[in-house]
Amino acid sequence: MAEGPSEGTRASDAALARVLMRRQAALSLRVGVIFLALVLGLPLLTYWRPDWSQTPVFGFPLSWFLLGLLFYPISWALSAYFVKQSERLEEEGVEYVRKERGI
Amino acid sequence: MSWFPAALVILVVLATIGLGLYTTRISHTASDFFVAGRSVNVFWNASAISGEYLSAASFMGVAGLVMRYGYDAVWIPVGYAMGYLFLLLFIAGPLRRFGAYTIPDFAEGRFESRAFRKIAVTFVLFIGFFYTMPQMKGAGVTMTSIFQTPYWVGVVLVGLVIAFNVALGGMKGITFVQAFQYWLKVFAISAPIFVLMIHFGGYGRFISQANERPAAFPEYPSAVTRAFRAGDTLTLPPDPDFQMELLKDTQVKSIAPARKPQEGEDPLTIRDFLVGGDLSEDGGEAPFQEQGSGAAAVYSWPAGRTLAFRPAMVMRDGMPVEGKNGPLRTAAKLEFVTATEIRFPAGQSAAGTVSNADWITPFGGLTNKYGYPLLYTFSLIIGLIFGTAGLPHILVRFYTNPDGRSAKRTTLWVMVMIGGFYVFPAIWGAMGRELVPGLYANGKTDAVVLELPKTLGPIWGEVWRGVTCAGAFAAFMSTFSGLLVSMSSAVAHDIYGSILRPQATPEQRLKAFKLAAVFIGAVATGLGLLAESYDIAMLVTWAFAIAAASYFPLLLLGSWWRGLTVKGAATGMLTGGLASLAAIICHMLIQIKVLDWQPHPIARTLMEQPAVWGVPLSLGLMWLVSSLTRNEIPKGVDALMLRLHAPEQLGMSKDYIPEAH
Repeated sequence: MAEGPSEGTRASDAALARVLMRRQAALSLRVGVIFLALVLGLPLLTYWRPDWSQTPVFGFPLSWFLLGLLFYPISWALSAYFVKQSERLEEEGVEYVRKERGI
Repeated sequence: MSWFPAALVILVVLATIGLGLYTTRISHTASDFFVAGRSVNVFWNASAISGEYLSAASFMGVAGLVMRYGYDAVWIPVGYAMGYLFLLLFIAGPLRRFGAYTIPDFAEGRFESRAFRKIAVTFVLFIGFFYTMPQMKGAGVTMTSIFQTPYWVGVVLVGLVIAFNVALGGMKGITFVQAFQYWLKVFAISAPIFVLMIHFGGYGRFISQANERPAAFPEYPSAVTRAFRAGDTLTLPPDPDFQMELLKDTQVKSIAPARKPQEGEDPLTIRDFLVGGDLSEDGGEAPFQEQGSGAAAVYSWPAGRTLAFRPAMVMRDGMPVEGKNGPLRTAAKLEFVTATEIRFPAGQSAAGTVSNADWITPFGGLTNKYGYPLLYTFSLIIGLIFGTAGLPHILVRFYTNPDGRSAKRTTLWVMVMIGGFYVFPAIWGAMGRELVPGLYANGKTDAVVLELPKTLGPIWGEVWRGVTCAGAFAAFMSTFSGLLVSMSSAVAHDIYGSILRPQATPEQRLKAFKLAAVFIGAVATGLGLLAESYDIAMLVTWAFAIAAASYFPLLLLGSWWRGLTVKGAATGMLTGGLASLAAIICHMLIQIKVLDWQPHPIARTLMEQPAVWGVPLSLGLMWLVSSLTRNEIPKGVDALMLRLHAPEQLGMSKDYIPEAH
């Protein structure tokens, strides 16, 4: 196992992997940080401003509405954004590698 | 109509076993079934992953926990669902491109180390046993609800049936069976709710009702009879004349205030809580029989007596203590010495729960039990969202994706499917609070999805109860079978096949798998018997916390950091995982009073929810030890990282395990 592609040296493997990974990692981190900020921000909001969290929205207290209903569509939107961007990055990555290695 | 739930459950069990046998016959492995067809698309694959994921904890436990604790418990379904986002962002693509099906495969392939595989496999068992306990409890509770059998009968019966079924090869996580079970579970959790909403009003109505009457408690719609075991406690509501009829001779150890007494306050006794408790005996019947005195006193009453309780005024040096709204009062908390049955008349506030305000506002009974609610909440959230990405029996399913790109798309669909499911348990909890508050008294809130449909009347009630019982069976059968397969494989393949007898023949390995399935099934059954006093969803939460501190850091750094060495990975995984496991076991022993220890409230919080320190500990140690052993970075790591991250069009990915075995 673990033999690389037949062409190229180890060094260029490392360089390619770095190029392919760096932008995907940046995208994952960006979406992850936004999401963590939302998820960890809600308890902070309800802790520091309990009056806001009881504001009624469609009959629910705001805190319940956000957590019990709204969080799911938010996570779907973030995931859909990530999948779309990630596929675009992969296509660009493929272009780049083909050019570099002349495949 | 009471035969209907039983009939439906038997149908589901037979259909699942039958489908499993049928699909095993036409295709030798799940992989064959899937790859040969190539027609199974992202949609069905996502259904199968969701089907395996939605366990008894999701189906019964979350509804029960929301009913018991209110808002705080809504974090649990949110965390179960959101974990997939982290799986999607960091794990799904690289893991599929690597082509390893199990975490031990990944551990071995990433570091080219068979020794590390053997270390990594241990956590399949730790996490697996924590995950099987709540499934067994689900089985016990459901069987009790349908057939009125004692708890242990359901646990033993279901545990043995599934273990033998797995051992005979009848239920090997077939994609099609799991996908079928997902749709069965979605139907069973949502359809009864729509019917209940038509009868009793919408989700918003139940929530706003609780929000508008913050000081109130839910009231018994009709009289309820509840059974208590020796050692059970019962917190009474602050009604001025709360009545209960004793159906059996009843002994109560101590009558303590529900509110924790502060330093310097006068001790409260039964005479302060029992209406008429301060009367002397010559007024007629004695108010109670007393044996012993002080904190060790035991009070008893004969069957047939009706007792009335009231909240007691909190006094200091004979003067009432002032609270925010006048003098402070506290309701009584009883502890039963012997098993008994009690009938509560209709129209009274429910015993065993908290006021609407404490139920609906953040930082109530679940997260604020030790006084550090923000710490508890953060730790719970971290454990859930990072733990999902480290669950061994879920990651196994990603191999059914043809490539990394579809692995990501599948994960997106899984999020939509399980998110759609997880809206409903909270609705069950909110409706259960108002409609079947009798479940609070003896802590049977885990049965809310089975008991709530009964309110629809004798015929439709049984029909819909049949549907939820069938859904519950589908839930714990699919998850327990999946876990049993992955745990038995770990024992047969990694422990027997590569440590004990590396020269074993395939027949011997198959025999080892079967023996392991029966043995692990028996151990899981035994643990299930011990699980009765824990909430189903809490037990699963602990499995997540252990996964978050062991496998998640391994997968995250293993996929994204070339500098991770085998020593770093092993140190971090073992230390983080075992320390979390130890903390949780300590907490469980304290809870059932086996361990007599009163640690600081912050320590209690960190023991019950260890992820907030377990995950950074594990990640930090991996980084530190890897940095110290930099010269041991595997030689092929660059080619390996390229394989993990190169899109398939480049032809650089190669499955670590080319075909299913």
